[in-house]
Amino acid sequence: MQLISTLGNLKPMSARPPGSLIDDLALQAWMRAVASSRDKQAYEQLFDCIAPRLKAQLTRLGVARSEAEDIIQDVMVNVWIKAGLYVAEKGSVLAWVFVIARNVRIDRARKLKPQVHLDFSEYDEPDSRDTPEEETVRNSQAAALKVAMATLPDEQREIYELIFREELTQAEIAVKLKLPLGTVKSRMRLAQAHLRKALEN
Amino acid sequence: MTTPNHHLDDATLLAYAAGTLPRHLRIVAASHLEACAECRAMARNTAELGATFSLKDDVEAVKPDLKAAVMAKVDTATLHRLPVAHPRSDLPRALAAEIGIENFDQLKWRKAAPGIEMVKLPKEAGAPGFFGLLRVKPGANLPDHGHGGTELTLILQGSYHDELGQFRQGDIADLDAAVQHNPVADKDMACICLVANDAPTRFRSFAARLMQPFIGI
Repeated sequence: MQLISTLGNLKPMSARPPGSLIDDLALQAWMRAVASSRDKQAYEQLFDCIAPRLKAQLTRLGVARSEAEDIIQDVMVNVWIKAGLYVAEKGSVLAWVFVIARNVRIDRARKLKPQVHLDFSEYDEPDSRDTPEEETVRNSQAAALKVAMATLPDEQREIYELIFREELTQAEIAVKLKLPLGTVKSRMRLAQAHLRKALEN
Repeated sequence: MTTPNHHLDDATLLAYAAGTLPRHLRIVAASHLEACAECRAMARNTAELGATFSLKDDVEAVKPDLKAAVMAKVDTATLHRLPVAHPRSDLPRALAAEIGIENFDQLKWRKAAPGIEMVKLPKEAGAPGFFGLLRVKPGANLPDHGHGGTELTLILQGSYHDELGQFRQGDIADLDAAVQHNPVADKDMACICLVANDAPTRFRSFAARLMQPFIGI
């Protein structure tokens, strides 16, 4: 298959060893326990689920071990101190952690004062419990994301793999796939259009 | 503020979500997100995919002493406090935090061309392109230009129009090499934009090209 040869060292999804399955509802319950009563046992559960996943990603990217450990430490301490700002109807715990980890790494790379990161700015607002209606919206969004993933064409899946697993820039992807930058950008737009469409339905 | 009509390009939003945008472009994108609930929602959905692709499948054991170190840290960690209401600022938070300035009047504007003032802002060392603010007098026009790479222009005050339509406060023009345009500030007030690009602007007119080394955009 063409896709697999161009992916090089990436293995297709099915051939990868499965990590332990994620139950986001369990993660959310632990987040609530940490937020409301500083529950250390719940926090340890979060650590045991999240830290090994961060470690695997940082190893894959070739981040040096001591730097990787510092990043994991920063991210996990952030999870503790910001647990009360997590709002379940805005997204999964893992996506929230993904954004925290990205921001920690941007700030560490700069070694200057932290930037203000705002795409999850609603997390900075006081929590409000889900109304039944919001819960329905949230559940249907999660279902739509699953559909988007399942129906993603190979060419677009490859783009997401290169962006999020290998963390390549547009220009680096163009070099790797031997494609013009414009073609890479249009594949990115097609992939995002696919996501939008799945969310609209 | 009204809901923006002009948004981030999906390719830019994806690079933003992945954290691979150069810092000066990232600040402009973040500033648009402050004004745009629609792009924030899309950024969150993209983060779901980011988490799925980068964190869902693989695990690698961490050393027990790393966990012990984290548990010791959280014992003494101060909890994140909910932010108080921010003082009124002309600038987006993402930019104000970066440059430590809240108001347009605190900036050192200098003349760049007839009807146009400019403030250059610091970029990462070695990053190509331009990062800065432009203040265009009511009715004045920017020279007809194209783009070497990606250019993000966020309207902070006033409005302008060009071949693509009218751009008002909160709107972002996310343009690449294919676009040539001729923006004119609307007549009611000066138009202030935050601009970042990753390659030099290409001016069409000979006079503007002669000016370019002095303008520095």
